[in-house]
Amino acid sequence: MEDGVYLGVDVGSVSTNLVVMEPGGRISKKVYLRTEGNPIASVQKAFREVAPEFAGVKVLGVGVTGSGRQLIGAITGADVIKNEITAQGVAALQAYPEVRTVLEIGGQDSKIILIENGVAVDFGMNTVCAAGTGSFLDQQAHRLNLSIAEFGQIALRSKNPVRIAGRCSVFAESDMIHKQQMGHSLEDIVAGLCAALVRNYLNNVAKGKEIRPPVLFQGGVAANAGIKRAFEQELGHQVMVPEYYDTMGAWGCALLAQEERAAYGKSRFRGFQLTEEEIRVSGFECVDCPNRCEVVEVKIDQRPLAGWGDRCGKWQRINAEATG
Amino acid sequence: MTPVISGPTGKELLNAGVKTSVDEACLPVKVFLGHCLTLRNRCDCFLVPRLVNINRKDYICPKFMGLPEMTKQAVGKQPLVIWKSEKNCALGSPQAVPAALRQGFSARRIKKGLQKAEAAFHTYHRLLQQGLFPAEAEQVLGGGAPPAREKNGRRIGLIGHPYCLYDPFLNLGTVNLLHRYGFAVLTPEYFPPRQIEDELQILAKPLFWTMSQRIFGAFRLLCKEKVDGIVYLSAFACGPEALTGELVKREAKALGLPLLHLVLDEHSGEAGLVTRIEAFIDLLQRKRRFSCV
Repeated sequence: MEDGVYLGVDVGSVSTNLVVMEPGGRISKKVYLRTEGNPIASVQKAFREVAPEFAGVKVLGVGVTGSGRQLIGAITGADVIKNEITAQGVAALQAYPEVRTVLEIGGQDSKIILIENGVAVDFGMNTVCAAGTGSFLDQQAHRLNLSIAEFGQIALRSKNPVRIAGRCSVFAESDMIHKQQMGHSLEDIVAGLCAALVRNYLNNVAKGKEIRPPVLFQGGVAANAGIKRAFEQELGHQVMVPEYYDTMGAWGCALLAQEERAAYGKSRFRGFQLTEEEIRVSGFECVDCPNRCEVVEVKIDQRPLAGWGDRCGKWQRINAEATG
Repeated sequence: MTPVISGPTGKELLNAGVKTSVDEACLPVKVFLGHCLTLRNRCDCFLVPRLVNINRKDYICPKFMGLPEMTKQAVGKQPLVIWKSEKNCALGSPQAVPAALRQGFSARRIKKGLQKAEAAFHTYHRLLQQGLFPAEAEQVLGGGAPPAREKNGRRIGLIGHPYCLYDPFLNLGTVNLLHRYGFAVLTPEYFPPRQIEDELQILAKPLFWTMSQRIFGAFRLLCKEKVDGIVYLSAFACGPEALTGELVKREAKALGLPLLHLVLDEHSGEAGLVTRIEAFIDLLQRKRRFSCV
């Protein structure tokens, strides 16, 4: 096997993850950071963390995923830019080849992936509503003055969870306040919230999908033992949380970069120095036609690197000339 | 009399349409009104058909019945001519031609004009049944050469109402995206109406809406054509589709055919839509690759 490493980057709305993977699939380092609304800075920070250790190592391929994949793909010089669903599915299969259902709950979105004989056959994703996602829990934890880390442990202490309306986070909030005023204990309310999130997930994202074991639960919210238990109670069977539950997307796209290595040959990775570059992104409304596309343009040290957002492809062409 | 036709759908047009239409209107109606508004300063009068039914026992969606009124509301004072069918005469019959359009024409010329229009309509649909898309068919009708199509490639079915499938702005370029991934795209208009009708026999009760019938029939035919998967585009707040969508979903599940149901909305969540289509295509490709091995 060739010497070197594969890099996988998952730029989500809430967290930015980077994994350094050895050929074959073993993770040798992982970085988990908050995106804090600045995907470029957080990716630079993540690369800075691994640079000292891996700067001399050959990078065989780079895969990026997540909602910021296009932006970060352009900045890093990624070889594979994949959607989150495929990346999460590939990582789940690497962790547990026999898995049949993947539940994934992230900060802003949640998904379900159904797998048969080692191949994804169906998926579901939440629509615009974030009621069944991590940000819902974040908000409610904040309201209860709890850190999100304590949240799961407190839920596990509950003997008698209260029922909280989970259809909508606005309803859930007023319902929760009502239950607090009625005098229910904190752990019962927290456990009730976990159950509400799970019900919401199963009724929206997983609507009409058959959940068959083995079930894998991944994404940032999988750290929450309360949610895991609520899933197990609702589904009636065991739910597993993989070791790298919070960096499955990054791992998955590193695996995809390895899988497609033959197709691209040499990596387009721009090197670890990208952490020191000045990267500017500007947006403008193209007025050449009534579509009024919002075009994004990326400049590195004042050289245009990439552009997108246009429907006609005009700005993307310029991008190809600039880099190719 | 010169007909003036609106251009392609765009952001400004959609915004204008959304602003003038009632809340309950579906996205395509809002787009239609947007088109009307772009014509407001370029024409003297609007011609809007009142479509109720085109077959004997089924109906076009009720939003179409109210289209002339909604247009009137949107365009204000501008005169509006409604083309509607009367008792015992179909929309395409000479008697149905609105008086405003008849002025200065003999009955014979009107009849001839209608025949010509009908012939063009049939030629157009024959082109669609050869697998052409509306824009391509129009090119061919205008004397252009038909585009080359690969016959043995991978194929994907795309179903939904025609105004969702063939408006690249509304569906955020779904057709282009599928073509870019190397799929031939088959739509309901590819199938002759008679074949679609035959497929409806399995239903316990006929579907009320003409468009729903076409979507469901085409779905069954696409299954028989052994396409790799089917993408179902529906418009947000479409009533009939709530039912058809469920029917299609159940049937696809029973057959084990990959189906992606996408709901189009004015918020144009392009990233979400593209992510779903990409993931769906990956799913089809990986399925093919790994089941061959």
